[in-house]
Amino acid sequence: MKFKYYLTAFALFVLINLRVGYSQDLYNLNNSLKYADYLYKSHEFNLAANEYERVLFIDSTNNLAAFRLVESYRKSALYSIAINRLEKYNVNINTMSHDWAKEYVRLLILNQNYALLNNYIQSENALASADKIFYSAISDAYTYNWDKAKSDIKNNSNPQNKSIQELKNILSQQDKLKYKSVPLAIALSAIVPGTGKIYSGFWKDGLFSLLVVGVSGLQAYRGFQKNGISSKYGWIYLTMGTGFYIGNIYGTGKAVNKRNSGLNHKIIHQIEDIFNRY
Amino acid sequence: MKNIIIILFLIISFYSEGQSKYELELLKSTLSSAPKKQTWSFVRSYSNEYDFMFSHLFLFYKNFISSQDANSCSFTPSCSIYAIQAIKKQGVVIGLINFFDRFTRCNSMSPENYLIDKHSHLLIDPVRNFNFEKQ
Repeated sequence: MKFKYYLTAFALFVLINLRVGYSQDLYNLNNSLKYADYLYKSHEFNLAANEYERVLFIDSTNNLAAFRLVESYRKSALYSIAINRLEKYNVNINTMSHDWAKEYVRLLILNQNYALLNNYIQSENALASADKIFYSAISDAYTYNWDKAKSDIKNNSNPQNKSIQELKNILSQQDKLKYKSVPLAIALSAIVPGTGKIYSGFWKDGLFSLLVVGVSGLQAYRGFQKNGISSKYGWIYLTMGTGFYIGNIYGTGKAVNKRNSGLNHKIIHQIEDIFNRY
Repeated sequence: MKNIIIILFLIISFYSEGQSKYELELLKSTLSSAPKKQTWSFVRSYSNEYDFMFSHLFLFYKNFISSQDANSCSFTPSCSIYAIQAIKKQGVVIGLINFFDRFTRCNSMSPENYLIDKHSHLLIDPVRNFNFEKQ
């Protein structure tokens, strides 16, 4: 009898609280969107991309979420996936809004799709003419096509555009760079081993090459002087010395490449800064 | 008495146990695992007879000479790996020439010219081609 009483009391308690006792759906559209926005604003782009994927799975018409998804992938350096999602949420890339078009162009540059980028820039789209000039010059600079980048900037009809002016100033610095000549360096190394490397700025490597080739040559000379042309000692050192001599010439070319690339990278870093701010 | 001993033995056998699997795993985790033996699978594909010869010279060097001594090369990949990679990538002639250049640079005098590998603390210098084009 007592048990029945307790059971009835419990059933009544449950019935009364049924209205309040519901479970939360943490993964509904609103909560997922809130959390995705929070992650996006906290610069946790990799995690934000996952949340925006969930949001767009529930509601694929949310344009802001789609834009932020693409941005999140770009900022996580997942450029191919970003392009894929951009194309998924924009059926026709030529009729995209200005923001989407800028995002697309940025992604093409970062993903090094320069041929596709040039086609897109030349086509009719929402990009302003200043944007087209800017991105075209950036892509030319990234491929070390300096002269074309400078001529792109010359076409700018809007001198008020601050970023283009900055880009112009940086590109003008490129003229002042003192590149080392590959043929000259190779010729120097062919005449006196190691001097080509010294000329290209790697003086310690140059001196060491001179030492190695010099010692190998000297040992070969000593061997031949002692036992004549049949000296094994002489032939071994001659072979080694020849290898080091030719290797040094090849290495000189690489050293000049490395030095010139270093100069280019200094300019490219400054251009990247403008590109990221644009 | 005999029965008591048997019962006691049975009781003890129920409660006593050797090392459990969990404890064994825990003990294992305190020991550093032995380094995995390199198989050099990329070396074992040959494009010609010279490639075959240099690949086996490399394997002989790695198994019988280099393995008996500590690592003394200042670069990653080491000079021997660089040589075989260069031969595989650039062919025997250019690969060997590239190796001779690398060998003269392996002197630890110019660390400022290279990036440093975080794990091995060695200078990073992968096989690169010489490009005659103006930069």
